[in-house]
Amino acid sequence: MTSEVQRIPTGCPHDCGGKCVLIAHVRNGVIERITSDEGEEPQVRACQRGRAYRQRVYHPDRLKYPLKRSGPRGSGQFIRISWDEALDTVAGELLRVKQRYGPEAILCASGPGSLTHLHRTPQVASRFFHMWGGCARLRGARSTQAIADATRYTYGVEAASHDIEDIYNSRLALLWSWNSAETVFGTNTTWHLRQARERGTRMVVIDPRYTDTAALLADQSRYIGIVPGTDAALMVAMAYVMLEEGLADRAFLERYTLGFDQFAAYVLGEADGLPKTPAWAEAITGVPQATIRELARDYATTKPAALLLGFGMQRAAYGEQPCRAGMALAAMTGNIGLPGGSPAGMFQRSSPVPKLPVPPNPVSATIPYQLWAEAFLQGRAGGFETDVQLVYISGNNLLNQQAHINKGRQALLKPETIVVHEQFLTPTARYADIVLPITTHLEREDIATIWHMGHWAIYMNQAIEPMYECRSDLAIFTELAKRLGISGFNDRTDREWLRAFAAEGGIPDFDQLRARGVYHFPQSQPHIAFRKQIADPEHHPFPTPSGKIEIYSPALAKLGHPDVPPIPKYIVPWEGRDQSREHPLQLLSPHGKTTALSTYANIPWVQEVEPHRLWINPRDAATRGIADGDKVRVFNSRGTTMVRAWLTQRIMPGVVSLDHGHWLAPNDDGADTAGSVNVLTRDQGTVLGDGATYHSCLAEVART
Amino acid sequence: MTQLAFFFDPARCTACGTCAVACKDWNNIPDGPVFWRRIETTEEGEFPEVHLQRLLRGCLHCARPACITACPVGAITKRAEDGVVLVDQERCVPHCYACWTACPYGAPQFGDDGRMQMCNFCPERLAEGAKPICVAACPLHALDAGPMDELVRTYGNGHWPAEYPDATAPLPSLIMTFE
Repeated sequence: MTSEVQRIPTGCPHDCGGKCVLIAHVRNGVIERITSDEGEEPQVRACQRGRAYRQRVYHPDRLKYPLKRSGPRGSGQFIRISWDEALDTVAGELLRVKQRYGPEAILCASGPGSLTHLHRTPQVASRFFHMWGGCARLRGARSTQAIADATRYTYGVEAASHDIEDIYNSRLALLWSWNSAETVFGTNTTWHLRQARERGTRMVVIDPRYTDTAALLADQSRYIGIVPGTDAALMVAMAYVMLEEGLADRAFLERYTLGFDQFAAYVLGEADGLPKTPAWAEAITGVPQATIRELARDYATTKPAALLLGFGMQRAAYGEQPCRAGMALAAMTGNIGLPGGSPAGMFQRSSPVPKLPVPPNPVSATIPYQLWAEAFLQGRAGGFETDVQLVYISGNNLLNQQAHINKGRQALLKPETIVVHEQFLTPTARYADIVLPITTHLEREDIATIWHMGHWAIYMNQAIEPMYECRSDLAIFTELAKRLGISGFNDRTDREWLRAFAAEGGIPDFDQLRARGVYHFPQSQPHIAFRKQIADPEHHPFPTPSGKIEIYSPALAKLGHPDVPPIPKYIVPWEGRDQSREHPLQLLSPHGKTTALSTYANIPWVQEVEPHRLWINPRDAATRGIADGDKVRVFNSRGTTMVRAWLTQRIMPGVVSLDHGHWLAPNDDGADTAGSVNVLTRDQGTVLGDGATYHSCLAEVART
Repeated sequence: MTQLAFFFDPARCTACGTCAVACKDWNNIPDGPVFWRRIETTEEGEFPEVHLQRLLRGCLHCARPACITACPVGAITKRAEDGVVLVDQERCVPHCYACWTACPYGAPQFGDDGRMQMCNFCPERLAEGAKPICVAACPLHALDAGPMDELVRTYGNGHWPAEYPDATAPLPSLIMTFE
């Protein structure tokens, strides 16, 4: 029997910063094709990742039924068990560990595998554990901690940005460490940027790599290559030029900011006898002083101008500093609170649509995300807040995506019990004692909204029945809640939850949302951060302790930590540029175009878009006898990974780059053979909030 | 005679691969080396003065297709009503490759069966009044398609860059603009 093809609106809600429309073409319960938004403008077009979703759903490696470990931990040896046995075992282990060690011995390590409103992996697991007496948590965001901290200390809020549609009002945009063409950073963000450029917004891109974003957006010769980890030095030198040439907006600084004079004293070298001149910065950043002067003048004299900070530069040692320095520049140029400007803060706007509610966690114990492995290994004896005995992981390829994988492999041998919810046997899932198979997004119903830059809701209708024996995280926790006597965990159907979310989120017609698949929230004008604070400071102080933009932060002064000074400074990073070192190459591990974190790393259609390869400048390759396409070892004291070299002029000499997200595949010698870059990265957090510092990493490369 | 054609703005292209993946999904092309549509990037210059050129790969449905002349069995034809170049896989001689040798653009593709396959301008979509899937998919709106005369009215005659093989003989149905 051949039925008609049904076109079912759904979506791709992984953690890339975008949330996109997918249309599943389904016949007889099978997805035959996937298309995207071809409706009214503005369309929400999916990228290469979401377009390949059919290969995710029907991947031969999908986990099909519950598994129990049958070999040594990490061996990947499992036997099939029934759902009843799996749920009874998990419930039994949860009870046993809680009774024996207390709730803080259970770590809920759910991650961003699904970023929707109902089946949102961190939300579902947190609701369960918090309703069951609490659990230990990981603290510190992997992606955005330093810029969120910097934004909070400077502006009093964690997020301060304009809608991307405001870019059309900018005469100049400085895209700093910004690679939205590959990372996505909001569906249509790059499309808006490109159209703004075509309509006359001049654009500068500052990045150690000549990215696809630089190629797309940087005006002729307005790509600036910079030594990784030195962004704050370039910014401070720009401030120097503005001061020296009288370009700073003194009236703005006087009226709206706190402590600019202390910053100026540092910039001019009054405090330390070292003026932060363009010549000083050239030696550090590799950016010619003439370019620094020109950039500073351009930014100071073109109004309005938007300084947009991406996240790469702050996933680094002292990542707070370039963010705070960028905000100081935004204030010096008076580009805050006006259309076309930008406060250079963290990009985020919360959605009006609620998520599955999560009650507070009765347990206060946390461990820093960046030090998770150290905390597992050392526990309370090492000064951490808990001894982890049971790890519950959902939507999180923890081992692969955190720094220092080899320490993580040791750490995962430590807890008594590991439970993993997954769609595939990821490097993390291989270490589980029990693996529970999870449905993909096309096998369940949900709502997705974007976490910044874009105001629409996507209705993700269920396109097909769950594959094999897969269940949703929510269905699994609902079963566990019954076994553990948690009342009220989930007393609605998925549809009932979603109908309530949509209504509370102000979406007028639920049935129309389901039928169309996308709802655009009405938006008369793009959001401008701090508009009221600038227009009427008497009645609208900034939400900081002083009511001003705190270029000098008394709170940071009180903290008294030399690595987060009260004014933004350039601080020489650990594992920064130092060619005298044994491992002299700076290694970047950016988000690439073939994964969303580690999702899609096993999807062939996406992988063949671009081979996974090490970016290396021909100059660095020549001194090591490496030819294009050679298999190389990338190594440092923490580990070794093997991958092919790509000789390209698109990366600064002295820097190499390997996209993160590719799945660990260790050989018998312990070396990774899949280019899984976190075998090399360092497990140290940023000072204020334990943010990740992946990009402060040195390595050496050699032919194999 | 109407000639269906593509438009490509390389300056808008980020080589994200969405067109290639969308094409593979729509046409059910397995992963592997067969691509009816893809982008190639060439690189010039020395860091930091780098320049990228994006090249559109796939059948360009030429006005005077070299593949048709080269095919020894007449398996390739040009459809009268819209100028789309089509291959009859039943007639194609497996592992012959004469069309591939003749095509200046490397468009003909060969799967495991050794028979030529390539872009067919998404006939099911044309029938619905939709543009080819690669056009509808592009997140940067770098692609368009339609009758050549309409594309010329919208985008002008474009410009044929040096990176592409000669266009005077086959007259490919592609308009490209450059900044």
